Amino acid sequence: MASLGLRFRARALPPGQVVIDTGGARVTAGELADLAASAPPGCGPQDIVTLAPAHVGDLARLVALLDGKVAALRFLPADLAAQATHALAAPPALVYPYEGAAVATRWDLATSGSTGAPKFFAHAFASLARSVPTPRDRAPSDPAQRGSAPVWGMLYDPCRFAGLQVLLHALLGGSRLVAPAADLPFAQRIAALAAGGVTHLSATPSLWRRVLMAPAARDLALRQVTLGGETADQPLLDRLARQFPAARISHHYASTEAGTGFSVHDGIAGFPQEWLDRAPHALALRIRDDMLWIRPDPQTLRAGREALFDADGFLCTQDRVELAQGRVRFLGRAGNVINVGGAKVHPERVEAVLKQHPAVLDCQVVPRPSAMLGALIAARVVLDPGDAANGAPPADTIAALKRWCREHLPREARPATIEIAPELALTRAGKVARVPA
Amino acid sequence: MTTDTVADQIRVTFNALWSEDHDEPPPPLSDETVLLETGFDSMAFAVLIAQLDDDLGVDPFAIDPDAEPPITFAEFVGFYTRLLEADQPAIPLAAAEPREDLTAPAFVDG
Repeated sequence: MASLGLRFRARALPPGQVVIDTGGARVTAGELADLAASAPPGCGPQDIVTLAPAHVGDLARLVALLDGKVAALRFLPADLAAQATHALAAPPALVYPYEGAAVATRWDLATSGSTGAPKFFAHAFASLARSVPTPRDRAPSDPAQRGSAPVWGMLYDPCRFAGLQVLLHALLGGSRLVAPAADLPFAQRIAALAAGGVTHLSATPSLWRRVLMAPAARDLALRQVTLGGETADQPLLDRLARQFPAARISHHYASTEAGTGFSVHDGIAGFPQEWLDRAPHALALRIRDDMLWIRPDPQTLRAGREALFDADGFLCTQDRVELAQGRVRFLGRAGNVINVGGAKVHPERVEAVLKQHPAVLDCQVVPRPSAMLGALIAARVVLDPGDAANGAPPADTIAALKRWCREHLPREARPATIEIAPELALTRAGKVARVPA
Repeated sequence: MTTDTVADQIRVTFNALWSEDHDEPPPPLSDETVLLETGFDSMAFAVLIAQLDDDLGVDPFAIDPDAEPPITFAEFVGFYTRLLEADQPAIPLAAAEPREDLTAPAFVDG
């Protein structure tokens, strides 16, 4: 079916059923079904409508009303909403039932822009919703889907790609969504998710490390742990498996430019090498020049980015990879490489080595300007509160981490300086903030 | 901060970095010691300068990248004392100058 509203109405939920709980407000199935059946006042199939809702409840209302009835929806993330001059924050008062035909509304999502104005990429609802299992095709053998209906938690900005994926799972996949206010302190948001009975949660690896530090993490009874937006490293996957033994753990790889991605469910970093011959989701994957290339399925919109694809339909993801022990492992983004006196260093690789040390919960590796070498490696680490060595003098910990790096990294990649920090700066998308090298 | 104090601080930092990579004791650093004969290469000096930036709050080589490179230990110390004496802050060195925060998000990633 072509639109979110039509697919949602087809679920025929009881009108009083709560589908979204934001703490302060609740959205019912009946409310969304009414919006889906109504004509959007003042706009039609030719219009591009910009959305800047204050919370995910209003976002769901707006999308239910507008998808399938306007040319395009442009989703403004919260940090960009202040710039908007003509944006809808909530649905206007409704007057008429919608009698037109459903049109294929384009979904424009903001992506990483290094500076200045945000870039938007066009997506089709069909391809965004493709990974959402309908309640019907949930396999009973799948531990993430077994038992009562899933309850999704929202930690993302719902107007960004990852947040919309969570919203679509909740609206189309037979679940309720618990979305605590984004301006609450992080530990309180985790407590609200636990109190709301959340069973399914998606976050970036950086956010998951914060979840693990929240006291209420032990009250989360998760059946599905999803990681996306950054490379999932093995120590974190192992920590999550220990913390949430009943959960299926999936790490998601997405290429915004390709408009597609895939999930890995075996709890091992990277993805199986066999996928280079046969990939899931009608995708094709290959390695060229140490980079991952991806060919999305034909449903994926390419408007405005045709030039990124080669003659065979492949796009270079800019993610550098290596083959190791039957896996394709991610080394880092090509653009993040730090040049240390002529040697190229992937900050992600240095981070991966530091994270393998038992005292390290999270870390961030950045270039540090050097008059002699152009740049050096600087690391900022967050210590694992559960580690036995926690409480040792900082100088001892730093010395131990430097020894660890000497054992595991070539000289140019070893951090010149290591700083212990209470937490890392994250972007609005929940990723570690990177400084262009 | 006197020249002797600065020189002592640099020796402490040098020796600490030396012992990270070497089992034998560090070479004595006198005024006439030629830097290139200490056993430190350009990478090691770059790390020393970064560490001194953290310890003393200044990086004279970042301030004047075109300066004639120091040859002896005394010249190396001179780079720091000139800068620290010019500042002559009454407040602690580390608080004298807000340093650029490398880890501040320079862009918002999607």
